[in-house]
Amino acid sequence: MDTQVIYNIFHQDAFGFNIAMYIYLTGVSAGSFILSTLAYGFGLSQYKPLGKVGVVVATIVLIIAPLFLLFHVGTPYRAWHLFIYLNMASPITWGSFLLILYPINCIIYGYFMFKENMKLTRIFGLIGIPLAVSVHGYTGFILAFGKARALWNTALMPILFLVSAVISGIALMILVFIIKERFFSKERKIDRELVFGLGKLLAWMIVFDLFLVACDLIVLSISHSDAQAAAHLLLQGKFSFLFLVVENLLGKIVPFFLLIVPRLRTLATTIVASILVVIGIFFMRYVVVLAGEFIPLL
Amino acid sequence: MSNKKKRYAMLVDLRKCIGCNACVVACKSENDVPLGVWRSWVKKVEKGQYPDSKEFFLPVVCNNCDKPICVTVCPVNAGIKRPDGIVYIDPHRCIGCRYCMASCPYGVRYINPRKKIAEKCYWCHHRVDAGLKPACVLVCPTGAMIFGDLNDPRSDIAKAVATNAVQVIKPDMGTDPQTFYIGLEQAAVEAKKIKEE
Amino acid sequence: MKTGIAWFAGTAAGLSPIQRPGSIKKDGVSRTSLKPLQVVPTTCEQCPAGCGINAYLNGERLVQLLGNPDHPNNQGGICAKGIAGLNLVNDPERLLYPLMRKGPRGEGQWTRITWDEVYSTLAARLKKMIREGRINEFVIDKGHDDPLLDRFISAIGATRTIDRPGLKNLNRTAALTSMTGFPSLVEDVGRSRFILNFGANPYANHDQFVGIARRLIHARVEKGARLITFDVRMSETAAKSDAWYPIKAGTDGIVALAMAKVIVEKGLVNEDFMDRKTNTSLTMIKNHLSQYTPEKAAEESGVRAADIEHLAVEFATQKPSMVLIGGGISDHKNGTQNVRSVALLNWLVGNLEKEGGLFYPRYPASLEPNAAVLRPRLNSDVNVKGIKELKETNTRINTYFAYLSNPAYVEPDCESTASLLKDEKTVPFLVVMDTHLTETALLADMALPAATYLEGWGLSTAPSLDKVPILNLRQPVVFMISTAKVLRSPTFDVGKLLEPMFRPRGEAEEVGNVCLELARRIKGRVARNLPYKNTQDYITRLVYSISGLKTEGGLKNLKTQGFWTEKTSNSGGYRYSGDKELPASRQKVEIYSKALKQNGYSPLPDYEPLFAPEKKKDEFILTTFKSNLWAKGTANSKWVREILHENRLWINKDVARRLGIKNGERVRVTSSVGSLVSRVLTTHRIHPWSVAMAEGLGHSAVGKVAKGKRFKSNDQDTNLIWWDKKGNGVNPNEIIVRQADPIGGGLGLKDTRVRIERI
Ligand SMILES: Nc1nc2c(c(=O)[nH]1)N[C@H]1C(S)=C(S)[C@@H](COP(=O)(O)OP(=O)(O)OC[C@H]3O[C@@H](n4cnc5c(=O)[nH]c(N)nc54)[C@H](O)[C@@H]3O)O[C@H]1N2
Ligand SMILES: Nc1nc2c(c(=O)[nH]1)N[C@H]1C(S)=C(S)[C@@H](COP(=O)(O)OP(=O)(O)OC[C@H]3O[C@@H](n4cnc5c(=O)[nH]c(N)nc54)[C@H](O)[C@@H]3O)O[C@H]1N2
Ligand code: SF4
Ligand code: SF4
Ligand code: SF4
Ligand code: SF4
Ligand code: SF4
Ligand SMILES: [Mo]
Repeated sequence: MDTQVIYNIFHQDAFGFNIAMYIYLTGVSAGSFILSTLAYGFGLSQYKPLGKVGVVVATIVLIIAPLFLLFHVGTPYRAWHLFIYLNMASPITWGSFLLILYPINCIIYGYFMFKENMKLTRIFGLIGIPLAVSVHGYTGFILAFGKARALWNTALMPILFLVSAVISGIALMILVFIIKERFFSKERKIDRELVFGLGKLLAWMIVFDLFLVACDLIVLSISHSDAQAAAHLLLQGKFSFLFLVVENLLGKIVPFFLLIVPRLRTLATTIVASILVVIGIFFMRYVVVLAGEFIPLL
Repeated sequence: MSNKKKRYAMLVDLRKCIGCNACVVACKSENDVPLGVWRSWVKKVEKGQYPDSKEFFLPVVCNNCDKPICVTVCPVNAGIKRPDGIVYIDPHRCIGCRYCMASCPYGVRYINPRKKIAEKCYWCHHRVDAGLKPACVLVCPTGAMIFGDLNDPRSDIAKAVATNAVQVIKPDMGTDPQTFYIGLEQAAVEAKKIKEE
Repeated sequence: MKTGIAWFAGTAAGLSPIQRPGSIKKDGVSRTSLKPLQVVPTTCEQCPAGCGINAYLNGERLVQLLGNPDHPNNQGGICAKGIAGLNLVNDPERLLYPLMRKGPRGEGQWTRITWDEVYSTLAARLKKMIREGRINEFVIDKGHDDPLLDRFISAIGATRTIDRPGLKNLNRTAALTSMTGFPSLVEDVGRSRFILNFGANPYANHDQFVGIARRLIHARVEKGARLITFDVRMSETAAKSDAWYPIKAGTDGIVALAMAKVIVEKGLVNEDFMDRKTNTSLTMIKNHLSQYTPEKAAEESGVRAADIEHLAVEFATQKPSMVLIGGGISDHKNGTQNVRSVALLNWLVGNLEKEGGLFYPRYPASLEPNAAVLRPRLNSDVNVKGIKELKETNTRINTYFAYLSNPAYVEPDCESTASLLKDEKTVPFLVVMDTHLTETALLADMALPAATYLEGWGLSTAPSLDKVPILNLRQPVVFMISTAKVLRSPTFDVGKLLEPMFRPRGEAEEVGNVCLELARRIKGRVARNLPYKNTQDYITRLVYSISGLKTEGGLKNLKTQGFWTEKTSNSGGYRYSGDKELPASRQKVEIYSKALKQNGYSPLPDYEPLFAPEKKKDEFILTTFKSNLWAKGTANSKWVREILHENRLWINKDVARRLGIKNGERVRVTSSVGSLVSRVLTTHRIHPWSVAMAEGLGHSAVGKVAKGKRFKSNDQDTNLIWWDKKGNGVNPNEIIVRQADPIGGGLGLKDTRVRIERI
């Protein structure tokens, strides 16, 4: 049946670039933190060199991230309301506490790490992991509570967010680690073994991520009409280039091959792959947030 | 009248709506709604093939839902559901985080571009509390809109809801909308216009 | 709650309860302070319907306009334009001071002058013209009726008036007058069971918009009446009808005649009515109609013969039934006969002065002495149809005075109108009095700020939709002057201290007051004919001369109610009841018109094809229609413009596909007088022969709101204007060909042929 909208209003977008950026940064932070705890929390000693870099990146990024929230809200000078008028049903309320607790924990954890107090580092590392998972996972809940937005309203959202957070975290760590080793370490020599190890980890996380994305898309495309429209939007519609080419081809598939095919694996390709991932995951946030709102509700 | 507490509701009889936008303009005037944002609007949708075509008018206001997700998600409890069912936003509390806008399945909330806080149709509670009809209901030239207390069996709205087949928009959203329609056409709800340019 | 403080006014018993003057009716509440607002009832003049409205004042400020629930016609309902009247008065871009042109015409350079200068300039010119016997060189172009202006015109003896309200429906007026003696009839849609609508759009405009829409909807939804609409496009009314019959433009007449033939032939005629109430015999009609077979009509109009037949039968057998007559059938070169043909259906089944049919309008009987001033003209004595006609007849013009009239925008082929007005040889002195710097005002030598309808006084008869005569009061509701300011005012009057005092914004002035002052300065006979202090004084005297109204509380009552209905009077004027007698002036409906015969036209309702048998391929007939959001006062209204800022050209989807035109694309639309570029709306809601476009957009003057340009003003909203990119639409009058029906003289606004090309 032919239908055509003759008149409708255009709604303001609820979330935009600032929120995409915020989600992206919390993800990077959480990913870096988790990586940092691999050595100190779980005793995977080959990752030890990453510990300090990780916690520094995680902390700095997490201090920047909420700035984007402040840009986003209409009345930032009322931010204190978040701690006075609590609504425990709201993921944002969860977030306001996580955003306080998590960086504090990061700082303490980092402090002990630099003090070389392994026991306390371990303890705060382990406390930090659920915090890091939550601080990013809750943003998944924020979107998932958008009932009528097919792209958001899925229980997969927090998990999808976490996995992509880890990916972006690893990629950023690779880059920061290489820069640190190359320019700031005494030996000026890069531990290639570690970098390639991280690269492999990144590659397999990418596979997991692609699997989740595929799950999401497959279900969307057979679900209710708005969900189908959302799938269409990503695969053939306005966001298809960003989604297919930028986010998934350049941001995931190309890096995967660069990292996994032995003949291609060099320091340079690893760097390229990591940069691609870092950019790709940003676009993942961007696409999720904006495409999620793109289809009008009425 | 029974002692039962009030449950306000709105009914739009689409058989009577002529798509005139008086309700929209009345709301702008009553609630000082700035340009570019809307508490209510009239969606117009064409269906069918010439000459067997049709046009539908669908006035949209906030549903003042019984289970308002917008209230659930507000981090500062600025969204408040009153005992009589009206959902309103405390302008002194709202921080303008837009979460309610993201979660409302009906897109009826907006950020006031001057005040930077969320606003929406609250069934003109300032008028209702003074014993008056909401502005849009008052002006509707054809009397297509009815407002009143559903729990009062003698009210116009209770009678109309009881004696007609009524629908709500997107009942599957589980927010239990309280703006009812007579003669709601699904095509008018579902037709979407993607942003141009 | 302090509701319903009702007083009984006057001494006579049984009068309606009225509000104590100045008391606060608690039906408005301030959103911010939650205090009740003061209510002043008045009359909307954004369109001819004249709905009763309530103006709400918060202190000195007008804050809102809503419907007056007590008004018998609109019963509290009002339309978007009525509410947006607030934008008109408060518009930051209003013309507020008299201006004199500085640079060349149309360059928009002005100097501010005083009213005193205005009066002396105009009075001197008028005096000179009167003295030298050249007053016919004074041309008055009035876009709005005003009794004092009319009085002034006749007092100075001006003969050349362009009467826009009279011009607008000449064909319908001519047709109905030729048959019934009345220019328009009241459509009792609320009590009808079957309504055939030919080219009217009462759900969006029509003469009585809200009053009729309300009743029609009620009849349909609550009482199951059927509504059938013939229109070239799916109007709001067509969308909400039981059936829409798309029809080739200008062919309604033959469909109606074919229906008439079916009714006659099936013996469904109300013979008694035909016998007693019309001047024509059934056999005569029957013979005349024999040529109009449904098949022929079908071929001409595209409406299937079977549909014509069954609708005719339904119309004649469903009682009461009626035919609605709209601009869609009258705004054509064959408009007068179209209307006569359609109206014939009503007479065949006797739908005159019957519940659910057509009625003669009712005016208050006790108004008779003043009726000439208050009542719309019966047979409009329009003598000039526009500047073009003056040019064609080489008429000398000394001064051209346009009041609330914007010919440079609103006339067909408006660009050539504008160039005539701009030409200083044709129009040596152009004075425009308007609320805004309109397209015409930009060409003026002197631009005068007019008060809006919310800033002045008026008295008018509203059509009596329920057969009860109504008198509407218009009183000022804006810019109340505080007591302190009143005390300081030079015109301070102790007796008035307790009454609210209003003053139009800036130096805007009511045209009546301008006429009175000019008369005072011209002196002599003219001054004697206009012996009033001001408009309020005039209205007061008028009110006290209406006997029925005087006994019911006079002006005081009127001011608190906003209107007056004459419930008791039963005689006089145009009133008559039941089916028994026709007014003396009009004994019978003249289906056969001697007047038409005398002038060489077919005396019986007839059909004259508009277009050659086959229109050229890919030539379309351009229909213009009125949007529900547009009226004269809303060109620069933010709330209305925000919703309506585009008038895309409607084109049938299948046709568009054939021409390779996509929705939203730009096309060039060309007629014989010009061309314009518009975006298209491809739709399944228009006849393939027609293209359609709303009129009222595409202003090149008036204001930035109309054009969608952001600007800073003390209204914060003007900074939020957002439809800049979508622009401002186009003015179809640029390409409308100026052509008139020779019989009625009305313009064929809806039959310009156009071609369409993609660009
Ligand atoms: N909102 C609003 N209301 C108004 C006004 C206003 O400006 N705005 N103006 C007032 C005035 S001045 C007037 S004159 C009235 C006019 O009131 P109407 O006469 O009711 O309105 P129009 O828009 O002129 O025409 C009505 C319909 O005729 C259709 N039409 C065009 N050509 C044909 C045809 O050949 N056959 C048929 N069957 N239909 C055709 C058009 O598509 C349109 O839908 O409205 C009054 N009310
Ligand atoms: N193409 C096309 N052209 C048409 C028509 C059509 O169907 N198609 N319809 C024709 C018809 S039916 C009509 S009636 C005319 C309309 O023709 P007009 O009545 O001449 O049209 P406007 O320019 O809208 O209005 C005249 C002026 O009134 C001014 N105004 C401002 N404030 C007020 C106020 O408070 N009260 C009043 N009364 N006026 C105010 C406006 O600024 C405007 O300049 O257009 C005719 N032109
Ligand atoms: S005012 Fe009434 S008729 Fe007009 S659009 Fe709104 S609901 Fe429909
Ligand atoms: S319609 Fe939306 S804003 Fe209104 S109460 Fe329901 S969820 Fe909240
Ligand atoms: S915008 Fe205001 S009302 Fe909406 S969720 Fe945020 S704080 Fe609550
Ligand atoms: S009820 Fe009041 S706030 Fe809601 S749409 Fe109507 S006028 Fe606006
Ligand atoms: S129908 Fe005409 S008179 Fe009535 S409110 Fe609308 S514009 Fe005013
Ligand atoms: Mo008109």
